[in-house]
Amino acid sequence: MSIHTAHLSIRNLQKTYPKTTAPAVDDVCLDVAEGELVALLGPSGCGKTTTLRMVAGLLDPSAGEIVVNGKDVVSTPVHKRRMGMVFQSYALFPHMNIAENVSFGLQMRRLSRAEAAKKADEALDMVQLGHLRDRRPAELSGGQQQRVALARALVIEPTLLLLDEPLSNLDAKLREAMRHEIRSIQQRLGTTTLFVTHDQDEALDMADRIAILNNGRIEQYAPPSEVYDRPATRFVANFVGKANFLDVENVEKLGNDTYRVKTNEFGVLEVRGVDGLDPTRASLVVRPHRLTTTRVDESVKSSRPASIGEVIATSYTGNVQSYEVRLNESAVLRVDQLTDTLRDLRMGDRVQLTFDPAEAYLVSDE
Amino acid sequence: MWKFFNQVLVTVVYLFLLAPIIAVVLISFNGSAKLSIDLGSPSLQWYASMLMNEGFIEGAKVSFITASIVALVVLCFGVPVALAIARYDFRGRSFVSGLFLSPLLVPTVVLGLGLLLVFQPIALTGTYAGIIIAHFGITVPYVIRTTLMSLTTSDVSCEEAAKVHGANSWETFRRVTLPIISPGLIAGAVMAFIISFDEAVISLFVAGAGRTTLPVEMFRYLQYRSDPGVAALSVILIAISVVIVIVVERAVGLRKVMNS
Repeated sequence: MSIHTAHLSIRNLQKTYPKTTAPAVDDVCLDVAEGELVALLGPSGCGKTTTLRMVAGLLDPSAGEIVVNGKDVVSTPVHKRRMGMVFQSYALFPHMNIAENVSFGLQMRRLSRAEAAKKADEALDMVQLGHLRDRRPAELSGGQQQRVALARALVIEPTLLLLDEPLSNLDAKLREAMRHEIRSIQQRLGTTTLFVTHDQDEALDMADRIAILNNGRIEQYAPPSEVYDRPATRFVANFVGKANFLDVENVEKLGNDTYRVKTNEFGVLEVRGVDGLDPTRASLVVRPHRLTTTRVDESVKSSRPASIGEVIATSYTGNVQSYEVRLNESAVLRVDQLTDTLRDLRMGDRVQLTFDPAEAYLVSDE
Repeated sequence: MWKFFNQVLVTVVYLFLLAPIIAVVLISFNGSAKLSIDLGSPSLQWYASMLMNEGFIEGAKVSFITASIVALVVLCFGVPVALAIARYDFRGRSFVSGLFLSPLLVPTVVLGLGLLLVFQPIALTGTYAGIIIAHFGITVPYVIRTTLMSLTTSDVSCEEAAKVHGANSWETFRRVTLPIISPGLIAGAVMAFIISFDEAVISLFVAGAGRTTLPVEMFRYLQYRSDPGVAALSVILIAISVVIVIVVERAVGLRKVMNS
C-alpha cells in the first residue's frame, strides 16, 4: 500500500445536540501533523467520540471547521471524505465474508473486481489474516475481527484513519498486543490517525500527542511525557496516571514556570508549574512513584523535603508495592515503589516520605 | 414433583388450545355427511370433493393472488416507514409510529362495515383492489413491527461503516441494511401473507358479489351445508400454513425474529 498522509486541522469545532443546552463539544481546536497519531482521551461523555464522528462526517457540527489538507470538509458528505474508520463494535458486515468486507470500500470506489481483490488480499496479509479470507465475521475471534476492521479501513488508502475505542472489547493481553500492531502498521504506512480512547495507558503507549478532553473542552494537548510530567490541570493530572495533590498557600511566582509555595506537610518548596496559573487556585502534584519511604527509626537526615506519617493501607501488584501513608487529617498520600523485600512496610509502620521538588508540578485547580 | 406437575399443566394448556384443531382434523376424515366426530368408516372423500369444488378453487386462487400482492405491497410500504422511524428523527415521528404500530383497536366488524360504506360508492367491492386495500390496512403493522425489530437490534455502526468507506445512502441500504434486516422482512411478509389469506370478517364485507376469497367462500358454504367438507379444507389450510412457517424458519430463522 502506498503512503497517504494528510494534515488535519480542527478549528473552533462545536456541537450542541438538539434539546440540550450544554455543548457536547465546545470550541475544540486541534492540529494533527502528517503521519501523526493523536489520541483523544477523556472520560465517557467528554465529547471525544462526538469529535471523531464529526471528523468522519457521521455528525454535523454546530459550528467550526474541519480542514483536511487545506480544505474544509464540513460540507463534504460522509461517503466522499475518503476516511477509514474502525468502530468499537468492529461493525463488520455480517453477511459478507472477510475478503468482501475488506474490499467493500474499493468496490464503492468503482475499482475493478480483480484490482479490488488484489488490494484486499494485500491488506489482509498485512494484518496476517490472509488465510481467513473466505470466513464470515461471526466465525472469527474478537481480535481477528478487529484486524479485519483495520484492514477494511486501511485498504482504501484513507486520508485519515479514525479509531473509535477499537481495543475496548478485547481482553487485556490481546489489547496490549493489538496496540503495538496498530501502532506499527500506522507508522509503516504513515497514515495520519485520530484515536479515541478512555484508557490512559493506551493513549500514553500509542500516541504521538494526546488531547485530553473534559466536558467538551480540550484541557491539554501535548506529547505523552509532557501530559504525564507537566499536566496542565488537576483534571489532567488525575486522569492520566495516579496523582497525589498537596494543598498549597502563599504561591509566589519566581519565573515563567517556577514558583515558591508553602505546603503544610513539606514546608516551603521551589517547584515548577503551569505558566500563568491563578495562585489562589493551585495544587501541587506529586506522582506516587516519585515519593520515597524510609522507616522513621532508620531515617537519615535528608536535604529533601520530608514529612512523617503512618502506613494505613498496602497493596501488592507483583512488581509494584503501593502504600497509603497518612501525614495528617487531610493528607493521605499514595506511594508506589518497585517491590523490594528489604523495605517491606506493614500497616501501622511510621515512615518518613521524601521527594525531589524538581519532580513535583504545580497545576491549576480548574 | 414440581417438574411433573409443570409438564402436566403445559400438556393440559396445549390440549385446550389445540382441541378445536384436533376436532377439525378428526371430523375431516369422517365417512358420513354429518359434521361430527365419527370414525366408524374413515375416508378421504371430503378431501377429494373439496379439491374438485370449483367455488373453492376459484376462492383459493383469489386468496392466493390477493395475499401475494398484499405481502409485496405491504413490504414496499412498510420497510421505508420502519426505516424512517428507526433511523431518522423527524417531526411527528411518534405519531407515525403510533399510527402504524397500534394494534387494531377497532373491531373488525366495524372496520369491515366502514370499508363497505366507503368502497360501495366507488365500486371497489368485489374487486381485487378493494380486498387488497382492506388487507393492506390490517397487515401493515406486522411488517413494520418485524422490520423495526430487525433494524433496532442490528448494529447501526455497520451502516455507518459502509458510509464512511464510500457507500452513498442507496448503496448502504442495498448492500448493507437490506441484507441484514432481510430475516425481519421475510418474517413480516409471511405473516402478512398468512393473515391476508386467512382473513374472513373484513373480506366478507368487501368481497361482495364479485371476487370472493377462500375464507368467505368457506363461510358461505357453511351457511347452507353442514358436512365435513369444510373440515377437510381447514386441514389443508392448516397444513399449508405449517409448511410455510417451517420452510421460512429453516431458511431465515423466523423464531429468532419473533423472539427478539
